[in-house]
Amino acid sequence: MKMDDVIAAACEELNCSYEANALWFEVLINQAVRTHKSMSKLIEKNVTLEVNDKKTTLPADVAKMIEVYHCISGEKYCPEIDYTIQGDCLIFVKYSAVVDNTFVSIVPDGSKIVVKYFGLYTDEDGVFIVPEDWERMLVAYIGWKYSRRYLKDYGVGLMQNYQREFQTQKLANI
Amino acid sequence: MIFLSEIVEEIRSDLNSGMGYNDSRWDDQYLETKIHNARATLIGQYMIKVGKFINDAWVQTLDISFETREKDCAVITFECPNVISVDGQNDGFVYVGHTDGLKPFVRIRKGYSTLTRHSLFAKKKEVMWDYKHLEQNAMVLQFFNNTHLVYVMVRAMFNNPTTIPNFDKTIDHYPVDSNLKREIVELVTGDLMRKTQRPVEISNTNQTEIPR
Repeated sequence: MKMDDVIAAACEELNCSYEANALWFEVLINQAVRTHKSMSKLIEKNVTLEVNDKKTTLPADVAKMIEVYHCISGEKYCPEIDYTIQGDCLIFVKYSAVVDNTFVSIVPDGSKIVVKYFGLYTDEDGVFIVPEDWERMLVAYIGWKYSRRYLKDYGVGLMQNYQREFQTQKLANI
Repeated sequence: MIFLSEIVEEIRSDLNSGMGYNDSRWDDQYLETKIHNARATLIGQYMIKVGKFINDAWVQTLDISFETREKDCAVITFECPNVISVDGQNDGFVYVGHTDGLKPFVRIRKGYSTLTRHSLFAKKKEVMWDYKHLEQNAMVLQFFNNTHLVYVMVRAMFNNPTTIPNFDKTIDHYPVDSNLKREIVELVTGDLMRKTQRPVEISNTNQTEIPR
């Protein structure tokens, strides 16, 4: 199921404009998915990346890292010792030597590394595909946040209903 | 079909029968402006108090072609008449998108927010739009991410329905339904009656009240 389907369903349920709210709802879906600590819908993926200036950019669908190793030698790298992750960037912090007062990284520029990770299910363009049974959870999350923003129009009761529904659905989807 | 002239005549007739004075001071243009304002107010009130169902009879469809194309920043500009402000959440736009009427484009801003700064949208390629006041008395629709756009369809409730291009008030139906028309007539008539009430004549007796 595409993200647009969830947004359209939420707009219909909340009786609000698709055009005016689509961007915000996409951000909300992103939040809900990223904070959902379930491994049930994640799939194991491999990607080969090139290291430049001691760092490389990770794919957008990374949910949990498994391991990182050198493409040719197979040497494994340890998190927080050999590399660290900042946002969507993997940075090698360990140095092998100091030459002319310059630290030489354990992974030289141009090296290929393999990143093994649990990722979200995406289409060929890297866009997140929503699992069918997450639809209600995400619509309820959007409903909760939207009705909280426009509390005067929707009322506290409806907002709490959406909140409860989101929590119930979340538990059901772990 | 309800024409603007019908509403003007009805208001004039109500004022005439109610007050019995010469109505020649109400020219058509003045009454038409009152009608446009009353329509915008009533639609706004309806949306806030009753619900968000939009009667299609209030909506006008506009196929517009582009005005300018700024290649430097990949923006295409279309001129678009003013739309009404409905409530705190929405304005009068019902649909802005592909000319087939089935593919709405996403709006960039709603009030103050500009979500395109979110990293999620860094690689976004779909067409987006914004409604801006760039020049004096000219509102424009700006479209991003597609420099080849030539025509777009806009369905909206405009402040002054007669300002949309090619609107001929003698042929085209005024975008109201019968219920809204009745409410407009009541509102405008009531308003004008209040304004035309003669001040109470001051009698020469001692019963005259002195305003405090």
